[in-house]
Amino acid sequence: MAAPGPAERSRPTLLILLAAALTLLTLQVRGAEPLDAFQQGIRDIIGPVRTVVDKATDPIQSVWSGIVHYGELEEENERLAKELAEVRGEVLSEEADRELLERLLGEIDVPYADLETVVARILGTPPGNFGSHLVEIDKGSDDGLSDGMAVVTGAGLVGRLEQVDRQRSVVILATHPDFSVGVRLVESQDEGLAVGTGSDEMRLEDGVRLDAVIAEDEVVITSGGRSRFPADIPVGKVTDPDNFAEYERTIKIELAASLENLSFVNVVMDLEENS
Amino acid sequence: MTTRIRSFVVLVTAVLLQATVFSEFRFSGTSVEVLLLVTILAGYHGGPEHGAIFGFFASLFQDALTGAPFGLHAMVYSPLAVGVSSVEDRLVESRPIIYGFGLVVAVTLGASLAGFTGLLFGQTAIENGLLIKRSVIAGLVSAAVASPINKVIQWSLSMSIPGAVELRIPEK
Repeated sequence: MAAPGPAERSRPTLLILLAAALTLLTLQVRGAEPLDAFQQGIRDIIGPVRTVVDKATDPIQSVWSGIVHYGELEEENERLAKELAEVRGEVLSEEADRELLERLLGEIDVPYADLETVVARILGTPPGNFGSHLVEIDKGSDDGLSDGMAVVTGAGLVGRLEQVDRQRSVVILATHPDFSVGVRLVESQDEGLAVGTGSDEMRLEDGVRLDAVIAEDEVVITSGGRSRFPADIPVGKVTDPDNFAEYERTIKIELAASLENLSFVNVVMDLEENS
Repeated sequence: MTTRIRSFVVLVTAVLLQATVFSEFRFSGTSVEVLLLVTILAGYHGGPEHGAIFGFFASLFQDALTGAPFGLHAMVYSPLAVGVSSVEDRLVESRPIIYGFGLVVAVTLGASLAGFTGLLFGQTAIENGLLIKRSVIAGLVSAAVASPINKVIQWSLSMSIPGAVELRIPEK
């Protein structure tokens, strides 16, 4: 009888490895904390090396970015030039809008600007090719951050912390399909759950009455309550109120904060720490 | 240095490269899949068993780096290494263009399967079209940097590959 070839010999090994993989996967999906801690440990060991390489390759990265994104930069320049022209033509209108915004903020008594926050720099996309709507920041648990904290900019809600290591964290952006936040419509006072769509907008699905009159451009803010997101953080404005829905209402929200080309964000410390 | 120590050194170097240089320099949002690449090359040069074990450990590091649960990438990496080794056994023609094309296909397949496994377990949120596009780009950019990595993998396995056996007819 002929001796088994390498392929035959490798079958039991492969089966054992697959069984081990499936066991690990099941354990971690069910929330085995030692495995999470072990993963975090690996990332924490690599973290300082990443920081050093980041700094060392910064100039080369800029050149690379210029080469790879040349077309996008040109388009962006063109877009910004157009926007600037529009803005110049709408100065008076902007003044009026600002006054209106100040009045609205006064009406709802927004304590948003008073929240204790930690400023973090955006480092880029986390490792891996399939992490869309995620960004990495340069602050972690050493700076007092923890999973689930709200991430904002001066303009409004950006997302929440998803994976917090010692020196770095991953932010899941508000447009990520797994992101959800309780929100309130400022004028109609209806509350609901806004979710990310995977595109550049959010969708308000549950909670809003079918007969509620919602205007286009109505301001949407976080509702707070039992959520880890503090109340009254601007989320965006309504672009499609879906006023003629007969069964389920799906309201589209344009985010107040621009999630493209972010450089710095503010991580809102826990509500207990703020109070 | 034994093959195991060399393989460990190669693995750790690949992890650091994946986490640093190759994560920074992206093409169309896609980076080189170094850990997948070394798994494929380990399967090709080291045989199915070595490839499967190497791929298993490489995948655990990939899980840690990407924040995926342990075992997710191992469902793809180890079988892929065995598959590559099996194809290598059946290769009749050996031209660089065939190797290059094979590598692009293998990395694309591995990356897309890992992505779909992530979708299956609710760990990835990406459109199917974008997933396939990024997998293809990952295949192309990984193949572009494969030559030096291939030499390193060959070096790591050089002690386990038997030298040419000279057959002699015994003198009467």
